[in-house]
Amino acid sequence: MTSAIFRSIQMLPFCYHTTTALFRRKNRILFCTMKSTQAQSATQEKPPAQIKVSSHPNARAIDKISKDYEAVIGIETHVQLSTLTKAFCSCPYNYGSPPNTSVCPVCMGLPGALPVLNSKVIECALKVGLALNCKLSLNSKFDRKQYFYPDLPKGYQISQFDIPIATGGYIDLDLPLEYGGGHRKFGITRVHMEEDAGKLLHSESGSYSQVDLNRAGVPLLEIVSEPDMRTGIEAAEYAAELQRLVRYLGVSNGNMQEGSLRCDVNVSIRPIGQLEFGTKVEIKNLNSFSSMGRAIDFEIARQALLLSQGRGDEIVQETRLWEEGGQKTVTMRKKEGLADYRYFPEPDLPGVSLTQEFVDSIHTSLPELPEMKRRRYEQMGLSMQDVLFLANDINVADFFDATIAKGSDVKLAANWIMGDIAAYMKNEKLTINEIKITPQELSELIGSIKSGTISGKIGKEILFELLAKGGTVKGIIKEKDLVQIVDPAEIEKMVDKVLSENPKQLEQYRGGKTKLQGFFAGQLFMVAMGDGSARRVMVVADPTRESAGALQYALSHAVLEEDELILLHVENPCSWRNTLSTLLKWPNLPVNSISASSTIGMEGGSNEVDFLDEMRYACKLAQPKIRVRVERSPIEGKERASTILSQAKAMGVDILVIGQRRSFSSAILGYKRSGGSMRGIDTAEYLIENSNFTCVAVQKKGQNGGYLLNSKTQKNFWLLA
Amino acid sequence: MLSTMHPPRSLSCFPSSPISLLRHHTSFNFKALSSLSTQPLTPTDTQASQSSQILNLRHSLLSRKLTATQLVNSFLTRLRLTEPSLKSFLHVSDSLLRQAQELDDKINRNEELGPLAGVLVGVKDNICTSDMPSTGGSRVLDGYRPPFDATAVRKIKEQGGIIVGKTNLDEFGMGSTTEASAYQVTANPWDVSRVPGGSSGGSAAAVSARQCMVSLGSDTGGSVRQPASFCGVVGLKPTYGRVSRFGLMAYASSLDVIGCFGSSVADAGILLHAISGHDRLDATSSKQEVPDFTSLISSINFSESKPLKGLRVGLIRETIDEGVDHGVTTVIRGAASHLEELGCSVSEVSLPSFSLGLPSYYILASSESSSNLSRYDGVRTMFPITAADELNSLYGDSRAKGFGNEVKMRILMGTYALSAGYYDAYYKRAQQVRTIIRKSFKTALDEHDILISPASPSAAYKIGEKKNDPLAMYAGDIMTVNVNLAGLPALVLPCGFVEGGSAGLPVGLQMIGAAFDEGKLLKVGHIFEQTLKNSRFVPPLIADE
Ligand SMILES: [Zn+2]
Repeated sequence: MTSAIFRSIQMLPFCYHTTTALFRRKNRILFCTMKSTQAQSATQEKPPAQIKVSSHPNARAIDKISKDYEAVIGIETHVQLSTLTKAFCSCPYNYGSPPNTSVCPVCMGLPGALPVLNSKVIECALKVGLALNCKLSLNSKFDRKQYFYPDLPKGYQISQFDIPIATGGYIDLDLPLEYGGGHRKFGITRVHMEEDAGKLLHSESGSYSQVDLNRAGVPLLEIVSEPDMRTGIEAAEYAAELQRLVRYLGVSNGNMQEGSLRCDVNVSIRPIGQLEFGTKVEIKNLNSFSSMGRAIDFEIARQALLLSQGRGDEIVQETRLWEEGGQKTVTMRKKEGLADYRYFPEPDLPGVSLTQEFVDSIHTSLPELPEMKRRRYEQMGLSMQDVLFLANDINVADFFDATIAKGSDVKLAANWIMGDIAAYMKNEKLTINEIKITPQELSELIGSIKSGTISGKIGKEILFELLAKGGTVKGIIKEKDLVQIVDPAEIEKMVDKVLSENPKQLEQYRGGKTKLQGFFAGQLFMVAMGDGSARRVMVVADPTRESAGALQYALSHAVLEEDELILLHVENPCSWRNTLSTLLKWPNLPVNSISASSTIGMEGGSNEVDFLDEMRYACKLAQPKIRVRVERSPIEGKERASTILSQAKAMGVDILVIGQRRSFSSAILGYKRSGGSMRGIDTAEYLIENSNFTCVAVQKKGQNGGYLLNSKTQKNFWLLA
Repeated sequence: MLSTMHPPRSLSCFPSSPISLLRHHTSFNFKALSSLSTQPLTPTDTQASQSSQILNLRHSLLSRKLTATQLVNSFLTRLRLTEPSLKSFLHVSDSLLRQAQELDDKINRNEELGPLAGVLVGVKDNICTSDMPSTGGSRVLDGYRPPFDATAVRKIKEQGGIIVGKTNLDEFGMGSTTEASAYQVTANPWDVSRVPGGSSGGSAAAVSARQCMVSLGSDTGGSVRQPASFCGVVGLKPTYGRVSRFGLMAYASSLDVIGCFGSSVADAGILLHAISGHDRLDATSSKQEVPDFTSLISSINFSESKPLKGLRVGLIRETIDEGVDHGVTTVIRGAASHLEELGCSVSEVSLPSFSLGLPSYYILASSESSSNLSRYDGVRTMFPITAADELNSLYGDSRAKGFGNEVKMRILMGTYALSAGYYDAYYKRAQQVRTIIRKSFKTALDEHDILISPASPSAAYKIGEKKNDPLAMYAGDIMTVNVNLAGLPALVLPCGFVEGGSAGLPVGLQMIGAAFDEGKLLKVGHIFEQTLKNSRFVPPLIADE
């Protein structure tokens, strides 16, 4: 992306009827709209919840065996509720707090402390129960589940046993298209409320462990599925849909890495056609949807292999651990009979009695859920690909909904969000809530393009501005004076000029040298800059390879006979520093970093005076007719870039050419967020952004590689030599 | 690691002020204090009446007849004299004189005093106090200082009460004699060779011997009422939910209540009023309005000849049956006659489910306790155990060494009753019985205003007498456990004596009321107490003063 190579430049006149040429009125820069093979597809981010399942080394053989068997998969999911305080005390919970800083007598299980239910937990449980189409228990209760473990301070967990808050529901989901797509409905056995335990921190030596009780007492919902899943993909998508659901409902952040969403999977297999279940194995330590899919597929293959070899008795009821490193499951503990948790009703908490009115009020407050949203998007005419992408993230869906609510075209809004906006978010590691553009402005932008006020190309430029800085479409159009010139006559005139001035290249192009496309594009780019009158072109002159490249470009492409060329060298005003820096600088400069360009003919080891003389000489050689002026300026203040800018302004420069070292990384994404310190921002970037005249940053690409140009409106334009 | 660990607790830290200072104040003792009573509550027989120490103290403080410092010194003196033979306290506050001085300063500045200003309160050691150790009578909490006050303690402090110290008890409230304390055996002030009852034996003995004015106990199956009966003091078990359990170390959560001891019904009522009410830290605490028990008592008109006219009293037939000491039955029948003299209509009432209470209680209480005591697992080092090299031995060692035999027995019983396959036969059936008992009480209380019974089938027995016969000891709870299962309030007040000791042994009358009807119990109890002739319930241990 960064060096965006335009492999196929569709350029006038060969196909100009399909191309939009844009014009910046003041600065007379012509844009060519080019189709990048990467531009659209690379920004097309996959929905995060989609799962890749890698096949096991013995995949083929096992695949064959697996065909004879059917897997039966059930999932127990623990969802950590994002209530402000814990389930039974007023401690806040924040993931990652220092150990034992969010604790109190209640969640530490101190003698005499009593639990008091946080009513938000009931609300969250009801929301999830309703969203999972469950039957709710208006009269439920809490029970104590008893076992000893150091992370369980009371010696029992407050949970729900025989009367869970919700039972007998189902969940709808759509499988990703990569895996064949399709709709699925999986049963939900029950949803119940409980409290989380603390965490054990084991010492490196293994000789002791410590207990962190921050998490103790944090509310959880346990959601138990019916054994309805048959493949790793189905199981992983079930979990992903649960994640979407709790995020849509706002009851949990659903973050698997932080343990806010934890899945324990039960897998058994049976010969196809058999009704009774095989021996089930529980898998733990599944930290992502993809590891879930892989772990299940591994486990199915393992069990199928054992069964096919007549070693079915080796499949025992046990808990196995998924090893991400080895991509396999290993035995954690064998079940030694059923654990007796000695459940009994929690006497410290009164029963939970709910009125139908309360349940109804929760029901009516439910937001549109993922399944409803997907069906609505589908009816709006969006493709399943689009539907799954947009509905995957509640915030993206909200943004999309808000955009179309402002009257935007549905398909266009989807394309912009899934394309450039998603790419920007991915690159800048931002969420849709963090970017500056509002749905209102995206809608405005789409409208402006549709109405022809601006082109798609300018639209993208404005989009990046909006993404990074905010503001309004109208404001940016006004501020940047961006208007689309679609006058074919004017464009044609310019094209004619380029073609007539370069008959040889035209001949070669027609002879099949298609590489010359770039040449024509560059010529057109330059012609558009000029309006026939004499201009003042400034080249920033330094004893560097970049500066030499910039001058070379200016002489061959930017300067016309009647123009004036200014070589500006900015030097340090402080003489001792100047001397020092010269002393320090020159010997340190690698020989090959000084231009090796024979065109200019500069040799390594020359001093300052020498290189400016050399440059002036190179100008005379290349363009004998132009006037060349050498200017020196001390650095004003601290910034080299602002010195160049003020000098250029003072001299009334029309075009500023500056060499640029590294690739213009952020160019393709729009401007770097400015306003901060100059540090870290390239001088050329600064000049491009802050000049009110044309500023072209030049990177010379090798001996015959041409130039990579950047200006305010043109990003990474590769001008072939 | 979490640390709620503190340096080992030193037992019975009495303030070590010089003897000479003590002698200086010996003139202020209980007798002196009671003689200060300028406003006798009863117009009839002052000789028989138990006057309110709290109200008398308030009057004395406000009229400057007594300073708080004098008061504290007089109590400390008596404490020092009686404690070696009684052992009712596990810990005595070392800031009593400082608190008394602060109160005197307040009085001198004419500042408003809280309703319990200067009232010396003993607190059972299974009720958390932030400024004193709270062990629950168990080794497992040796040296433990809670980071918070129980709600009842907080309320007492807020109303000006002074916590004298922490009283002895059967470990975690499990026992009926206070012999199951991990630290010491408390004696009965009426006969130091006898038990004070339990599990709140320390609180009952302390009030009986006037080591403090009132005290807090806890009552799971009779742990306030039975020792009140044994020690000849008033014991009040409130309705379940009337008083917050926050800060009470749980024994059986669905049965536990914090209760009050006083030397008069009025004092027990005033203390109850101070600690009652909904608490957001206890989800089982009730939002029922708390009547002003104090003014309810003081507004009683004694000029009527039959102040309890029309009150329907039911004497529970099953409680005066065989198995109950003949002496006790006689005293209770006498009390019933006295109630009749006051205008009540007394009739016998049968509670057919009464005998089911005991097994049901022991199953439910053990089950809940097996769960509640799981937290004493040695992980959070309340009880310093030598480092265990694996988890099971950490649990095993901590609990084997930390708990006494009675506690271990109940944990085993409870664990068994909750085990898979036994749950239905034991825990579930016990719950069903509980429902039946609740209903039968409801029926009986629809027909009667109050029910009466003995508080215990016998008066105080000898220390060690039932130690090796747990079933006999459990059977002693027959009179009280039903009330806990039904969640009802009950008041026990001394009503007579049986033979034993040097001056006879007191017998307590239990009055059971409808839920949240403590007001009626206090009213009846107060009238009964003030009109009871020729009975002065001051134990011989301090009667010489
Ligand atoms: Zn807490």
